[in-house]
Amino acid sequence: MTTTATKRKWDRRLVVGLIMFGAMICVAVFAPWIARNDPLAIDFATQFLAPSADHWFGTGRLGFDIFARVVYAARYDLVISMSAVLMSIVIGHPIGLVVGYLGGRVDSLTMRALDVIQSFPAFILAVGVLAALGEGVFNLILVIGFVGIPTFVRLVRAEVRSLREHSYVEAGRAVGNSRTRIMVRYIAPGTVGTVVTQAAISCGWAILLTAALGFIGLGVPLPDPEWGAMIAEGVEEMVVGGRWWISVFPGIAIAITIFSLSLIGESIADLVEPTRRKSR
Amino acid sequence: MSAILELRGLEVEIEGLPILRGVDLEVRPGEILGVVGETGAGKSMTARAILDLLPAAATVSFEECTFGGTDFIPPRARQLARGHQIGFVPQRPRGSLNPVFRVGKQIVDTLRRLRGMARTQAREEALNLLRSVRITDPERVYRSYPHELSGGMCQRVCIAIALAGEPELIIADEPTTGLDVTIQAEILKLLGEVIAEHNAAGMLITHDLGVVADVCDRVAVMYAGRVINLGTTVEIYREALHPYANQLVSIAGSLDSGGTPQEIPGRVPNPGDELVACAFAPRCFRAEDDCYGEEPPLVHIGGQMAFCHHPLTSEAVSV
Amino acid sequence: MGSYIARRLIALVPILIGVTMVAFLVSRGLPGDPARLYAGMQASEGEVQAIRVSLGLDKPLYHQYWIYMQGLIQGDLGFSLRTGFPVAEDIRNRLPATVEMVIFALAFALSVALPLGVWAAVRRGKLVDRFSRFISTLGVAIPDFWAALILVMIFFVFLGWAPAPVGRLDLGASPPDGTGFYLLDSVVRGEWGTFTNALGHIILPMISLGFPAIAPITRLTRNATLSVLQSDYIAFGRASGLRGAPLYLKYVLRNSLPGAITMTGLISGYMIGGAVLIERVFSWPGVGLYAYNSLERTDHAAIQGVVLLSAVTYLLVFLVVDLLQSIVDPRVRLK
Repeated sequence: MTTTATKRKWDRRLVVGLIMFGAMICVAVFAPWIARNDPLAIDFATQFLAPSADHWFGTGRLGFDIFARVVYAARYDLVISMSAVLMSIVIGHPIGLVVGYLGGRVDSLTMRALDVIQSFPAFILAVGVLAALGEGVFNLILVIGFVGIPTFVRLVRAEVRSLREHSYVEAGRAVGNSRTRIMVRYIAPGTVGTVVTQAAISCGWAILLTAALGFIGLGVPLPDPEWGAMIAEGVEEMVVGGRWWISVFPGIAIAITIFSLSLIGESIADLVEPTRRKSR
Repeated sequence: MSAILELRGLEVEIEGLPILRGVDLEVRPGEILGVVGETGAGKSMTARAILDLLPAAATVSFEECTFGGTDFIPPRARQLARGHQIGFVPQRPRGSLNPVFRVGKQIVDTLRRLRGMARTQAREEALNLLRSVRITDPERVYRSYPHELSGGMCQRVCIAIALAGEPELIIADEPTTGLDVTIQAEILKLLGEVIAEHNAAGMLITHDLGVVADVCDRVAVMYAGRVINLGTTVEIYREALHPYANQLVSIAGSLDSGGTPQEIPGRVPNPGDELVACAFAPRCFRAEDDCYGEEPPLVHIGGQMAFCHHPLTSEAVSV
Repeated sequence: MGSYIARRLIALVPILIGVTMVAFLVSRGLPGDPARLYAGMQASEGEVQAIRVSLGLDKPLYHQYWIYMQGLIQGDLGFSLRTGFPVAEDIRNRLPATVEMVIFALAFALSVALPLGVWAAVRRGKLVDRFSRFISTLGVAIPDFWAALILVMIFFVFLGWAPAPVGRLDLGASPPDGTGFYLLDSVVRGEWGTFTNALGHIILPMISLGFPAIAPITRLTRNATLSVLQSDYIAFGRASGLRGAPLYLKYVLRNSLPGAITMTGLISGYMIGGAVLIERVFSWPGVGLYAYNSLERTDHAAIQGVVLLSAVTYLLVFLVVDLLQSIVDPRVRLK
């Protein structure tokens, strides 16, 4: 009786998360239809206007329409973070699979290498590498994707090590499958659940990282819109001129996106791992 | 001889499922009462109800519950009895000691809490308690962390903690679970001795009838949330009134004499299962129609009492 | 205990070497000409060549690493083109500001998260629990640098309660002499005016930096507390008469502590990164602002110095975490 009640509640979280995230995707895809103003139009006649019917979220220093920029920035932030997570998975998953299955020297060497990479606070490492590589959307994806690799390697490795001992894997070995075949056909499918969960969580984290890098000027170069950089544009205006709207709206966009992703991540985690529900 | 602990009509429900369905028992001064039954009979639940340690979802009701003459129905009274009037010896002793504190500190804390002792005095008393549970090097054990001690040693420490508040009753809940067989016997012997030495009474919960025979004066046999047979150890062993108790004894006996393990056919009902008037009837070789239709009567014979329509004796007198 | 510390220190050495290698590769091995980056875009080809030789960039990579390590061991992180001082000295001067802020932020986060976590576990499934979970999910979603701006907006721009988010003291106020930890120094010297001034300035940065840490610490404390509450030793403790505040403070919180300490270590690594963002918002003159200003001027030696030092600090934090762990949980020492 109580279990059905909780189940319904978790499903609701997933539905709400998917609707919110889906809405953000729609905003990104249909940006030209949603925003009437040009996000890149510089017009000093409309500098620093407070939110109004014409400019829903107000305007910034260069007369940019902030609503249009928040809408168009969804394209940049979502594409960057989702591609980065995809890259982390594409590289991290096979590594985790192989070292987890083989174990031994390869495994311990890989783990030491991950220890070293994770000794750097992720954000600081991203700053260091990006400062050396130079800014730009492609480099941003590369760096955020790279920083996310260790998470997936560790996750998949842990999963593989427990799956390796299962009897159906034993059976697969006994009938003479090759190691590669065992890994791909018997073990890899078992890791999908945790990887999907982590992908949702990592995606939120990647958006945060994109915005943080943008905030300190290491993101998408101006004049292209990006939420973090847009928040940075408003710092001095807020402190000196009290023009709060420049920074507030892009932050709300970030919060909504990440909130929806963590709702999705948490509810998938509960679906994949029913035991977790009990411990709550 | 008036009882030190007296329970009448103890009922416990958890989330609407009846766990205990009217437990009656009493513990008399100086005696050790064994409470036996298969897993799920409600033995541990009875102990936890006495100490008000049931999960929050449980609802408890008593017809009567007194301890040394005071009313124990208010939960507050039962909470305050923990450690003071009633000492508790747990199952799984290794996990029952706090892993981050030294053994000595745990006993000292208990003494300070229960008897308001000063630190130095508590230290002396803690070492005395460790000696009283036959620990030969109390100083070393005092300084040890639980993970540095064996299971048997941990149980001795738990017994020392149970004794710390100078209780009048010690409840031991499957105290030998997880211990080596040789250690089990030692711990039971120790438990019997310290209860006698401290002029306390005991309530020993176990599923092992052999254990009962060694240390208990009287036995309460539980089935499906009720005490269905109560009597002296000798009576229960020689001439248990209830067919269930009788079968338990004969199975234990055949095991002791090296016979093949037997069991009573059928299975123990789970909480929430549909029960007939006598819960044991579906598994009972003496069951007749009345067992399914009418509540079994309380029969008294000698010192024994049992709830049964067809007790294993010819002179049964129904009351 | 001593041997435990020694083992931990030895285990740290290969990781430290790995960290310097990564830092070296990031600063030298990436595409692009480090000498050109170092010299700046306006420099002539001759100047670039001179720098190339002076940095040893004409030598093979392993040799360059050797030179780099020799410098590092002597505390040489290179020169900052922007300030004209050695990077190591620049960082040393700015470190107290950052450390002071991080410590306050950690203390703030822990003082909210630990009680909340225990409370949520005890009242599991009740309103507090659900509220704390909601806060957790929300806390993860809100970028800390944005939250900092919102705080500035409310408490400085609109309400005028907080001082202007510019630095550690009001403009014109002179900092107390001493260690560079203004709050500590002002107390030691009895300069109460300076103390309240500095305290007023640190409150918003403290909340902004500590706020994202509250969610994970609360969640971890809650789960640790739940498993403690369901443990045999708590059941036995209760059966032995342990109740109320002593039960929760002495047993439950104490046994939840190891998990909370690990989490605090992880969080402090996050805060080292977060400091760059928060210091930017509050013009807080610490290592983070130094890194930010260096980024604006592409001052590579300074940036890479901060990157390397962050990793070393993070490793040291973890060493401290392990040592604390072995103090609060005697079982750890066995491993």
